[in-house]
Amino acid sequence: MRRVALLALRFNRASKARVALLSVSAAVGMAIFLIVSELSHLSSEDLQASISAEAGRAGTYAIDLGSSLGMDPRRLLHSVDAAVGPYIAGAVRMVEIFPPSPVDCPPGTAFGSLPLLIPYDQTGTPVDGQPTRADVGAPVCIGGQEVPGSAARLPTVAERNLWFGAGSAGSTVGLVLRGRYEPLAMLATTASPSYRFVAVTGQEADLSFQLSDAVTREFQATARRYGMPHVESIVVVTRLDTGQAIRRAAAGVDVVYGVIAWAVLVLAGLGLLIAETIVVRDRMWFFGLSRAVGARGRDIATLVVVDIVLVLAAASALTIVLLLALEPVATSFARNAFQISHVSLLQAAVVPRLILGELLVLAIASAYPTARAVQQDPLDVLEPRVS
Amino acid sequence: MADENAPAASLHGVTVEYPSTRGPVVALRDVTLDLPRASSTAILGRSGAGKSTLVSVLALLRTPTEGDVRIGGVSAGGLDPIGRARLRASEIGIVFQAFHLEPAFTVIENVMLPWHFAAHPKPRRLARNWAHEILEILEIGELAARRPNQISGGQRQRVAIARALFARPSLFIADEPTGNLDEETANGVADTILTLPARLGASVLVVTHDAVVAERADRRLTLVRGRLDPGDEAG
Repeated sequence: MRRVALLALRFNRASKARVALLSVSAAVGMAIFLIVSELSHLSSEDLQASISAEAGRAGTYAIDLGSSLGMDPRRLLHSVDAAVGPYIAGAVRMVEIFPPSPVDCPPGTAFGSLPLLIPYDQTGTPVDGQPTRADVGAPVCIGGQEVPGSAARLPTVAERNLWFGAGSAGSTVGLVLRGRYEPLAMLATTASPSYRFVAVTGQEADLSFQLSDAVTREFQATARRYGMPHVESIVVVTRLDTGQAIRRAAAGVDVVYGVIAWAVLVLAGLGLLIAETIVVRDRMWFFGLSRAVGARGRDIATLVVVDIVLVLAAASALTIVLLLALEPVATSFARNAFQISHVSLLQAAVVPRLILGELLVLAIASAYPTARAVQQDPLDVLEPRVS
Repeated sequence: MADENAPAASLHGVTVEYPSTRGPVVALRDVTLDLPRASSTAILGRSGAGKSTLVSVLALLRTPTEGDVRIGGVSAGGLDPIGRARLRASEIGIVFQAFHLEPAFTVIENVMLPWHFAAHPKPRRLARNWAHEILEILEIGELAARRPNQISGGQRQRVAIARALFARPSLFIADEPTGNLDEETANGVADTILTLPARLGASVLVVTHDAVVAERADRRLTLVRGRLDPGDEAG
């Protein structure tokens, strides 16, 4: 193998211009492939982030439970988590929602009657949090008792979409109350709080039925014991994410980018294939001669494949140089087209793509010439066939 | 492994047929032939008599339709393609009418070509020394660093001979080795080839249509329409 590779290397040294030309062509193809792949990746990430911010993460569901069924919040969260676990990516988030109640301290009228919401962490503990600029500032009255303005805050846009957007709360405005004030929220109304669980499947497909069914089954027995035989009446699953058409369009753009990148690579492979086919045709007599002096089919295949591997090795080095040179151009393009501040073309993630691309080019460029060289009857090229 | 006491090569009832649109064409018909070691044999015959087919069968480049080919006592019929390639690499040296030298390589690199495909190669330095030695034997040692386009036709054919001898074959086949050379050069090349048995102990088979070249061989055989003419054998 090593001796045959040496022979291929000797051939390459003898035709430097050919190797240089083919290496440059392959390097340009590889560089375009990697740049388009990277830009596609970055723009896709950017687009997905924007869509998620505007329309929620793909496959975001609100699971509203009209009653705690006598369970404490920790157990409630654990049960829902266990029920929907097989369908979701990540942990379920829970909020406790109290029906609207007056929150203004007399004689104030700034807020009127609002639902109060208490978020829970993943362990089922009410989140107390730190004071923020979103805190209401002026004192409010919860359950008839005055509390400081830092006790409650206005929900962010994302929280409003997730926690007040749909379902049993039925309101688009409310206050987020710090965990320590939960007992006051209970005093504010005679109605029981409801619970909203937010689960993300990450899938485009609608799994509302599956989630609803899983939660209903989970609470069936508990609900019966609680005197509520039809638990399905208090379980409402609502899909929160929107913009499916935009997501599909974004996925389509990804596909188009991918097709362009791989098409460039396939074209580079085809270019190398044509060049190598000509080389093999010109060297056919040499392959015949090699067979006559003892070369096996495997040796001939090695001669052809190593020849292409050497071209691709030179092309890889050139590709790295090209990527370094083109990085500012790619960054400028990305800034204008996708508002991405910096594109790093040379990073660890590029290596597997580079190797994959080279393997594809090698496969395209070597399969036919190798088969042709190996199958060639040496007598046809060394001596005219007797007829 | 080749048997040292067996003939360098032997054919037993070898027939070669080619398919054609008008039915099979018989290129060799029931050919039986022994090529003893340290001897030279000339095969004469007109164009189309089957000379090149005989060469290809002996060189294990073609499998006969019928019959057995033995190289150093080893039956080629029982070998797979890799086994045949190994036997060819170690026991057979071939020279063609066209020199078939790689123009991008130097003379010494052309001579060393079989080293790249040998099953049990010597270290590169020893192989190179041996290649130089052969070139010296063939009186072209000073051409080692030149390229084929920098030497004459006769010298090129000597380089091709050197390449064929590189693996120290027991069977040396030359197919019309003087066909591309002028008379004086052809005589020199013929001398070189036909003195090889004495020098190296190889069996030499020269396929030629040149009666003058054939005259110098220990034995002369004629192929007529694929058959060896037994009445024509002379030594």
